[in-house]
Amino acid sequence: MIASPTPDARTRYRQTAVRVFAIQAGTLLLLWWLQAAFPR
Amino acid sequence: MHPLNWAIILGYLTYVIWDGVRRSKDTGNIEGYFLANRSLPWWAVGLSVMATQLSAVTMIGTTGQGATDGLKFVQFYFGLPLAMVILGVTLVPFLHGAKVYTAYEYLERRFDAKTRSLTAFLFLLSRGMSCGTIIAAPAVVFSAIFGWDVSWSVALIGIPTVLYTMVGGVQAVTWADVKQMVLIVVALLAIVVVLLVKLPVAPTEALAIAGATGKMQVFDFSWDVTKTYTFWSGVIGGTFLMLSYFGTDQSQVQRYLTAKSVDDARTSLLMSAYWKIPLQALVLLVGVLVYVFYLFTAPPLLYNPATERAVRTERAADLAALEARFAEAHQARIATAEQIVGAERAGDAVAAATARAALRDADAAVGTVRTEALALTEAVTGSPGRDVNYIIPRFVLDWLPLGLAGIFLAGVIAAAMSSIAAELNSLSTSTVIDFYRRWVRPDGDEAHLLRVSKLSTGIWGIFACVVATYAADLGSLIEVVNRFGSFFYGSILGVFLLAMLPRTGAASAFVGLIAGMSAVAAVSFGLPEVSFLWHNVIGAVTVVVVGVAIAAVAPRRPAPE
Repeated sequence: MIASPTPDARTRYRQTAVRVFAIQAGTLLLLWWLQAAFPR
Repeated sequence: MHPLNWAIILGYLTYVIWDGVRRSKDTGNIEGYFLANRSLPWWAVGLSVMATQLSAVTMIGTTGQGATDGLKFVQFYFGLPLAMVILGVTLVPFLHGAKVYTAYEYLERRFDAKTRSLTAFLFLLSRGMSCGTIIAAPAVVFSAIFGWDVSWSVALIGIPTVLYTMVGGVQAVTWADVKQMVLIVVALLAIVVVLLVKLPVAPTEALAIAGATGKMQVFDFSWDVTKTYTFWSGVIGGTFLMLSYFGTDQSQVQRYLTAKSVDDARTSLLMSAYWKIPLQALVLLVGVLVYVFYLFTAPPLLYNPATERAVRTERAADLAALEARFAEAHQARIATAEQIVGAERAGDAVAAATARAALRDADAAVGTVRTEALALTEAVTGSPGRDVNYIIPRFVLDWLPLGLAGIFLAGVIAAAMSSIAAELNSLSTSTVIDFYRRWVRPDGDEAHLLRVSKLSTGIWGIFACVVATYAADLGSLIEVVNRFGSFFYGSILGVFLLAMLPRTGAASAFVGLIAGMSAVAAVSFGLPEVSFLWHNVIGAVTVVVVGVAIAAVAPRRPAPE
């Protein structure tokens, strides 16, 4: 039987997921800025 | 190459073998040998996951791709963070909590032995061959650069890897991966610093020049499914590919099964979610900066020294004529690059736009001569003239300061070894756990299984080295196996997704798997034509749809005990 995560663990993971997506959004914005700042 | 560079490479190889053999004392049973007794910290596992994914092809092929095509390949990884977050709440707790050795073992518990054996067999087939190609890619480049027979390069990379993986098991693989990952990042950062110092223009001016030729273009929002790298293929197709790779491929699953808890396993995967895209952008940026470097410094017409020698011997006059045209085109290109720099410094936007267009034309003229030279190479050698994989090694040997070339080449070898070691380790695990212990010796004692595990690692290592040595001759066979491998990658993910759904049984999994593979086979042969990143989506979705439909019409039978 696989144990279900505790509510604490679930909240922690949700916060981590939000952090991952925020950092990814930041990275994509940086790449977008590079593309716009150094055009063809 | 200078003896100091060789000393650095030999020092690194000696240390890796010594450290791997030292780890063997912690592997007295098969759980220790294959899973480090599920005791490793998240950061070591996380670095091992990244090192396994990053092979020598990334160090020499992807950097070369940056020099020719720019940054757009980074879109390939856009789905990775989402995939890691999804895996953290789905397959990771399932597999870690089930206390299995292999991902396929879990499928027998959930479905039946037939589904487990088929998926494990497909893994062994594709990874067995790909392990050979992972050795072959850098080995062929090393041979061409240093003028050795390819078997020596295979031995240089393959023998130390097989030794430490066989003796030290997953402990040796993981702790070597940690150091190898550090070495790889140091090598990449060192080359960026050297490039920035050697460039005759400021970093922003270098990026403006690269941008003029489209090398800073990252995003392509086209919905054309025949295009390989677009934003959507990266986000959607990439998510499915990364779910398949990190969630169902034993070479990655085994990395996080060694973590000491589910939380550690999750966190280890999230390390890639944070760092993979920036790291990949750095790898491509190395290539972009090398391109700019060769705008101001005469580049070789042909980057592969072995084929260059062959063409010079057989078609000297033709090559000399091309070299003269190439030098002329290169001079014209330098003038346009200098115009961009002048316009940027003057802050003249109109002049900068005109200069960018002139650079594109001049770059195309240089490209035309290169294309003719590569065609000449093909005519002389009889093999494809592509030399993208030689751009960075050639730059490293010609231009990196003393010692740094050795560090970079050690980094390339480290990247190859970390991927090969993880694959050998997982091939052996699946062979022993999914086949030998399951079908041949279910009652085998620990000592016997440990001996078989080490032997199996060694045999897979020898097999990979043989495939690598004859990779050029086996070219079409390897391509067939790789193509066949792509048929089932997404489909296996579909089977794992079915495993997490209620009411689905063995018939759903087996028929769904066959249906998914057939659907991917159809699009692989152009019925209709769809780029490969979408194949995993098609495979996984077909398996789930067919599997759920079968579950709806056929009652589930309990799995046999």
